[in-house]
Amino acid sequence: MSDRLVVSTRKGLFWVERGNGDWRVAHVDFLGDNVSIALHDLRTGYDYAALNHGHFGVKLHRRENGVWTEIAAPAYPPKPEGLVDRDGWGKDIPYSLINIFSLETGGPDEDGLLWCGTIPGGLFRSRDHGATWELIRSLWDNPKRQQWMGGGTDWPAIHSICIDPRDSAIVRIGVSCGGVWETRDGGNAWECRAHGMFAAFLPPELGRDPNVQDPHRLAQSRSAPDRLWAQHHNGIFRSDDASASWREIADVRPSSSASPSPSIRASRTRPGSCRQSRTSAAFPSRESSSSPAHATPARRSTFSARGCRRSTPMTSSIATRWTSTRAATGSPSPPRPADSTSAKTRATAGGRSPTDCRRRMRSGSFPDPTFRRPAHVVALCAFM
Amino acid sequence: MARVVFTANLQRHVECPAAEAEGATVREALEAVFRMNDRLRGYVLDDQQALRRHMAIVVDGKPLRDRVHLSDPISAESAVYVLQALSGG
Repeated sequence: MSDRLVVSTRKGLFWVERGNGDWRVAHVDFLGDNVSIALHDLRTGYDYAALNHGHFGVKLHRRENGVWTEIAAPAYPPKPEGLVDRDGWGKDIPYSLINIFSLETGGPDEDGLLWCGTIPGGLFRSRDHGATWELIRSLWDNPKRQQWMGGGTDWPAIHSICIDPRDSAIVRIGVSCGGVWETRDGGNAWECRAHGMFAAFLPPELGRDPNVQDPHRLAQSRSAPDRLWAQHHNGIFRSDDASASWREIADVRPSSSASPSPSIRASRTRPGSCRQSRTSAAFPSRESSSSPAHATPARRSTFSARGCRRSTPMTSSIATRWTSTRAATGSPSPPRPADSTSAKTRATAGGRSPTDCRRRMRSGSFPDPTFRRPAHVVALCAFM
Repeated sequence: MARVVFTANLQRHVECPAAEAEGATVREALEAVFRMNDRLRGYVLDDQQALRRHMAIVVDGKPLRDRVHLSDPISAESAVYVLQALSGG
C-alpha cells in the first residue's frame, strides 16, 4: 500500500500520509476549492490539479519546485455557426470546458505529454507539460461521438485514460457513456472497443450497444497487458484480448455493483489480477485465482474511498508513491438495478433498433408503455 | 472612459482591480481590460467568448442583454459591474 494519498475533494486537495501506523492529513492545497482531479508526473516531479470554480470556470494548476502556478486549461474551439451538435439524449453539446474528469501522463518515452479527458466529451493532449492543449479532433469529429450521452453528468464525460505499457501510442479511454475507445497510433484513428459490455438499466435494444456503455475506470495489467478491467456502471468487466471483447465479472466481494462506484486497480502483488477497493478495505477478486503469477510489479494501481481516478506507479523503488481520488461529486451515472437479470426480464421495449430507441428518447416517448421499469430505472428517469 | 469593476470574489483567484477602459460596447471595454490582464478573460468568458453562465454584468444599473456578443452599448461615463450571478435560489 502507498504511504501517501492525494485526495481531490470539493474542499481542497488533501495530502494524507501514513506514519506510526496511522494516517494523517499532512497538507492541504487549494483549501475550500473544488479539485476535480490531481496528477503526479513521475517523469518530471510536477504535480497538476484541476479546479472547478463554478461561476469562474475550470482551471488547471501545475506545481514545480513546490510552487503552484495556473497554466492553460483545455479550451474548445469556436463552434461553427449554425452547427447542430447534440448528444445521445438530444441535448445540445456546449463547446466549452465544463469539467476536467481525467488527467493522465503519456508514456515514459513521451516527455511533457499529458492527456486530459473532459466534460462534454472532448479529449485533449498537451505536449509541453500543460502549457498548451489541443483537442483531439479525430475523436471529437467522429460522428459516433454524437451518440454518447451523459449519465449522472449533463453531458458525456471521458472518465479514464489508460496508456498501454507496451506502446505509448496505444491509448484507451473510458467514456461515460460512450464505451471504451482505442487508438493505436497516438490519437489519429479511434475504434470503439466495448463489445460484450452491457447496461441492464437501458432498454434491451440499446443496452448492448458498445457506443453507449458506461465504463468508469479502466485498469490494465502491466505484466499481462492484454488483460484489462473496467469498472462499469453496470458492474465489473474484464477483457483478456486487449479490449477486443469484454465479459462481466459477477458476484464479487464487496460488490459488483457500481452504485456507489467501487474502484478497481491492478494488483501490485499479483500482476494479472485486480483488486477492488471500497472505503479503506481492498478485496482480492476471485479472478486473481486464475491469473498468472508474474513477478513484475503492476505499474498502475489505485486506492480510493470512492471512484478512483488515478493510475499510479506502485513499484517499490518509488519513494513517493501516491494516488489521488476525484472529488466526490456524486455518481457520474444513473443508478444500476440491483438485480440486472430481473431488470432485463422486465425491460421489454421490444425489438427496436438502438437508433429507434434514441429517437424515442429524444421525442420524449421513452420509456414506452411496454417498458416496465424497475424502481432503479424510475430514479434514472426522474433524474433525467 | 468607462469604469469596469469586478466582483471581490474574483480577486481571490486573479488580481483584477477596477479599471478605466475605452470602448463603445461592453465587449470592447472588456477586451481593453483583458489586453492588460489576459488571465482574467477565462474567469469571465467561456470558451466561446460568451459571458459565463453564472456570471452577470450590470451596465449603469441595467443587466446585460446580449450575453453572447456583449454588444450592449456603453458610454464614457458608464459603470460596468462584472458580478457573480446568484445561482441555486
